[in-house]
Amino acid sequence: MWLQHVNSVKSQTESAITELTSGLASINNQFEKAGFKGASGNAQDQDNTTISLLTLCERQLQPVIRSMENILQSKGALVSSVHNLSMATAELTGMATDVSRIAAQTNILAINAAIEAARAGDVGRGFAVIAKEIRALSEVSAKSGKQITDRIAQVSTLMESTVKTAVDASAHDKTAIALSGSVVEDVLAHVRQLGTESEQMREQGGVIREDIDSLLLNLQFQDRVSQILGVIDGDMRRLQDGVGGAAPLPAAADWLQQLQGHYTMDEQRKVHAAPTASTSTASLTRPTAEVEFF
Amino acid sequence: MAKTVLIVDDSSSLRTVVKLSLTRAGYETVEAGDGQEALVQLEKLSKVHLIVSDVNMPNMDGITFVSKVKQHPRHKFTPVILLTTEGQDAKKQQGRAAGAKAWIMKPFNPPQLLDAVSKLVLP
Repeated sequence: MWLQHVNSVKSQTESAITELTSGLASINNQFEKAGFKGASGNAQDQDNTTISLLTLCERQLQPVIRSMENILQSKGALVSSVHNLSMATAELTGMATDVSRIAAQTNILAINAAIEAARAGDVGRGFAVIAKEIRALSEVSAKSGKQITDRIAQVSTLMESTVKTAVDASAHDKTAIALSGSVVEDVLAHVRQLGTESEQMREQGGVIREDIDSLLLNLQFQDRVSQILGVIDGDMRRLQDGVGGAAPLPAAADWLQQLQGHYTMDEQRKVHAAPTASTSTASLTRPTAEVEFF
Repeated sequence: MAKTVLIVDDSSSLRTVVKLSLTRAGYETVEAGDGQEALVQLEKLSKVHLIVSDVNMPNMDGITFVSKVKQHPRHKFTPVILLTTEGQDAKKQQGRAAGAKAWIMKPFNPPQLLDAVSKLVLP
């Protein structure tokens, strides 16, 4: 009957601890799936942590804002150049007006020369031909001057339109870039927030990992208890066989010596050597030695 | 690809503790309840990267099991860690002579076991 009770204790603790450990494995998996992975000491894991991905994201987004600002500055420079060009066309208009004015004066001069040539009679006949040609040239010059003025006026209108379009576009771009910059800044703020939360989860994951390690260490008590009960089980069988047998039971000292031969742990040997001393339970859960490599 | 570790122990709770310690670090595990059962498992597996075995087990103890592994044509180079409550030096020397690579006392600390596994596991 003692044997049955001992075996019942052994099997109940064994199955309960197995269930507890399996439950712990499941909880551990759920925590890891939820992101509480913690630092495992694995270099690959640390390279792929969310925090480093978020930092990378932030590092890649910041140059986008700078590029947008550079585009805006380039557009400003373009508007300024077009404006300068418009000023230059105004100077050209003045020069074309001068050409028209010189043509008009040359025309008057040619008319006067023709009058003077007529007065001179036969002597001035050759000069009259020259005055006529000069007048014709002044008319061509006046016509060209007018064409230049008209053409410059058209170019000037186009320039003004271009400057206006560029100024309007620049204002729109400024608004759009300011908006984009604000959106990127918001995204970066969220990224930083996520990074902080992710780091906190990683730290908490480390705490959970240590707690689980501690639980795994403590759950091993069952293995030691099972070994102690196993030796008691064997010894009770020996007693059962001895009591039922024909031969007399050995002396107590011989019996205990045989029992000692079945011990597998230092705790059993210590208890055997000093049965009345109190047994510390700490030895059941404390790691007993460093790893010994052969 | 995950590396495979064979866990040999007659205590199912201890096997579960070792299994959880290893699977958390990304290893795959196969279990056996004693040396004989472990030899049957080895026949089924093409490659095992490491074995973690108890010493005191029914049917076939851990030290006999290590010597059988060292004679196995396919698994003779697989490193074996003996994980045991047994603290006697004589047993430890037997384990070393049989061909085990390390000796760890129970109760073990999971990070300590993982450190030994990562040092010995086959590439």
